Amino acid sequence: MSTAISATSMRPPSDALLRPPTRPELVALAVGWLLLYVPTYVELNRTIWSVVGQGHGPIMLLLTAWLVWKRGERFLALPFAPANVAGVAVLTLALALYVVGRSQDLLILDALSQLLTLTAGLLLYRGWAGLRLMWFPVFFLLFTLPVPGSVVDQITAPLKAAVSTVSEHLLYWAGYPIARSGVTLMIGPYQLLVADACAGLNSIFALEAIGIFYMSVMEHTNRLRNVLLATLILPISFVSNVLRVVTLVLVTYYFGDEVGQGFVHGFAGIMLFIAATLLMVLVDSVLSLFLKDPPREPSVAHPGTPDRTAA
Amino acid sequence: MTPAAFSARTLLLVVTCAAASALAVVATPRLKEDVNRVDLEARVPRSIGEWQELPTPFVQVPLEVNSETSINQPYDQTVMRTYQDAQGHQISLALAWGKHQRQEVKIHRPELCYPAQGYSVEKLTSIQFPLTAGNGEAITGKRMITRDRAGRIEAVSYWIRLGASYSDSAWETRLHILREGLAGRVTDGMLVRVSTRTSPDANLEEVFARQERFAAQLVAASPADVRHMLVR
Repeated sequence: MSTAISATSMRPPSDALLRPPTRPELVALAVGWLLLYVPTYVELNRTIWSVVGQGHGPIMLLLTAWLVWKRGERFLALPFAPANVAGVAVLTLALALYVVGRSQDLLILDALSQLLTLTAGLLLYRGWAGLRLMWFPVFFLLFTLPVPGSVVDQITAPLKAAVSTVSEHLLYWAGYPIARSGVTLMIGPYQLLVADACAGLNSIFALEAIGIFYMSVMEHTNRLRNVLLATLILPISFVSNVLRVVTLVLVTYYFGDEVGQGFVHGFAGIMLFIAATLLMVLVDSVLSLFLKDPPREPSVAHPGTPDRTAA
Repeated sequence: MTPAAFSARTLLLVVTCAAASALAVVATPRLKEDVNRVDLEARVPRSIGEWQELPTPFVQVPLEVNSETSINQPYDQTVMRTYQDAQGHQISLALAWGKHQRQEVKIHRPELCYPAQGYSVEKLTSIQFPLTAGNGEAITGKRMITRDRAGRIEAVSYWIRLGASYSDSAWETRLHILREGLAGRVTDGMLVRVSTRTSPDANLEEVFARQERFAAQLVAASPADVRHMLVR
């Protein structure tokens, strides 16, 4: 079923890369990457990642590294078939973006260039087949990008209003003395302002990333199930945010303002992710009742990858 | 020949990455001279035409947006004063200067600072100050009417100079900094803000005209080095 061996033997040996890259080579490539992007990560860490609600950046980066590593063996097993022209073109664009972004303080450009640099690397060693295998980690790097403040603000305001309204209705329905004015919730003697971080795009963004990561780990082969899951991540994030706000309101109501504020800064964020992950698993199990993954090939080590016999 | 530990391809790729990394460092515009030498606090005149500085200035709306860390503080010098004329009119002056304007660390527009302090911006319009810039054109700025939580009105006129440009569009500002930066030049930035606290029924047109005339007088009365920082 694998075409790797026959394809290799048909190609005349053109480069030392017919053999798998040596360890020093892999280390050198990693060093090249770090030379480029450590300054970017330092800057991201100084600015974006330290903003409440955007702290998911480093985790996304680690997850990307893990995704690359997980596919590494399969990638190296592909035949050496570089797409040189495309690779050099993408690399040129990547490094141009990088140099402008880094020197002119346009962080989004050097962060974005990560995707292109990785793409170029894949193309230069294993061509389009390599890119097809690694497209997911490349895509996942998107979640390390800083979201422009203006975009965040535009999406955050209506989300905040919606989260506040839904939370108010839930609590009112449950018989609590709650009132709302804009994004300020009043319960008993307390007033709570639903802050950007509580409802914002940032947390939705992070949750979407977690959800997509979950899907990639599960490696469902049923396409409909994947599409449904990816779509349902958005309402799941929304429900998780409502849960967080409701919990915060209740904690404040029963234990006072101080405990409530402690909860905000300590546990609420983690709870959000736990809630989102649990909801995700729950939705996925419900989906599994209706949508079964097609039976996997018993002999193939990584059944998640689509068949590449045609290529 | 034994296979080399490195293929030419890998070597080339790593060297290219290192070169791009170095190029980015080299291409970063840097300040060449000590541009911080004009001390605004000492050099901005305390007496401007008929206007005298009040020994105890009004508390003004800060120039920062509150969520900032000290690293991102965009100003190298600030001046905050209140001036009074013979008829008892009072005008607050705020100057903020940053020697290096970057895409993410640059002068804050008053229409952002005021809401951060709980003011609402009721009206924001572009105006031409009675002043000419280095290119011979009138300096473009803004008029802003704000209202605080107690309903008091503050009339604010300001201009922001970035290098030699006075744009009021965020995109143009960014492009200007980018163009200058790619040419290796550092852009400095100056906010000149004049404001008057007034009652809701005051003749705002008159208040604005007075404080904008005051701003023009300030420029005229300043020594050349200060003037060069205020308008260019």
